[in-house]
Amino acid sequence: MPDDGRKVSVACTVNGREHTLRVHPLARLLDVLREELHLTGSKEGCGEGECGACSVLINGELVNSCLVPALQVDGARITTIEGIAPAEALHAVQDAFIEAGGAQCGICTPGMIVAAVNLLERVPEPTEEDIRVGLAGNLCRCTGYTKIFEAVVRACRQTRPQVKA
Amino acid sequence: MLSPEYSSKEFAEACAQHIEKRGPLRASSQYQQPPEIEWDEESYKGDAYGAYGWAVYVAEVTLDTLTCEVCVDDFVAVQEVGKVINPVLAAGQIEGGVAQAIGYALYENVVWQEGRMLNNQLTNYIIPTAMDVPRIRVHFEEVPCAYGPSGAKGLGELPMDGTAPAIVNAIENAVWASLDHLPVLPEHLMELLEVARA
Repeated sequence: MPDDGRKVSVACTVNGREHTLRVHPLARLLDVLREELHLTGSKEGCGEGECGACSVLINGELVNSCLVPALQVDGARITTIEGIAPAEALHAVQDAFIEAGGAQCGICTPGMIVAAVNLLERVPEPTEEDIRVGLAGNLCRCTGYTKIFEAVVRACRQTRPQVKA
Repeated sequence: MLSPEYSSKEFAEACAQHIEKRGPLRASSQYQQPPEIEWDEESYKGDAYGAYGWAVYVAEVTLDTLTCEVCVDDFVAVQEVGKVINPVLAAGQIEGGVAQAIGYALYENVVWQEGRMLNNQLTNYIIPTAMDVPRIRVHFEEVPCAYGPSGAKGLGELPMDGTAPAIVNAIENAVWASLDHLPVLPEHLMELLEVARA
């Protein structure tokens, strides 16, 4: 990393907590989250925006944090997998992933859950096609996606009991 | 130390007590091949494996005759794996294997140059996404294996073996031509169909 002289101040809110960070302006948000804030839930899969393992929400929008320069999040509200549910509790999507068997090796899981939570926020009653499109940016090599789709449907039913799959 | 029904907390406490009283728990065991399994290490003849899994794979595909893109619309896997110990995880292993093999059949083209993989990034080594895999339907036949743990056999590898042939057979059935190369890329199919038409 370059010396402190080239660093800039970036103020942002991460999982509800305000931070002022001294970072290189082009540091990847993924590295800032993992190394400066020790939020290691977001994973680096490919580092080139293809796999979605590093997915986070910036102002409610789903992004690959490996492609975001730190400077760009000045003033932004960031949610990582650690902030998806309140401490010690699980989000309905996380519960559903456990019950349906939506996680295997675990590398895609944090990003996949962030993407699924974002999908259900945007589309509370998703169709099969909505689920596929909503998760299309998150690659999974283990599950064959079938149990991940099941988990999203299950989470959707849990939060909205009237929905039929 | 433990009653037949115990919680994870009680288990952890029992472990701690055991370590305190008797030191770290060590166990050792050695595999001895059952006499029914015959294998001659000299001639390499006999049963190479103690237990074989069996499976049937059925693929339904759509072939776009204009773009030559192939889409797997439906996939059924019937697996005989001895005893299924954890149904959710077992089905997950099969579904994952089938999805990888859909990639093997249709997308995953390894380009070699001087012993190195040229397309070693997810940008140019294409694997199936959530858009490319149907809901894989898995059924188990349970015939407990005498020598497996609780009657189980291995199950992770098999879906990588039979899935691509099922998909290729489905494509061959659609185009009435014989395919001899994986992955079945649209450009290969297009060439084949143009030759067939000419």
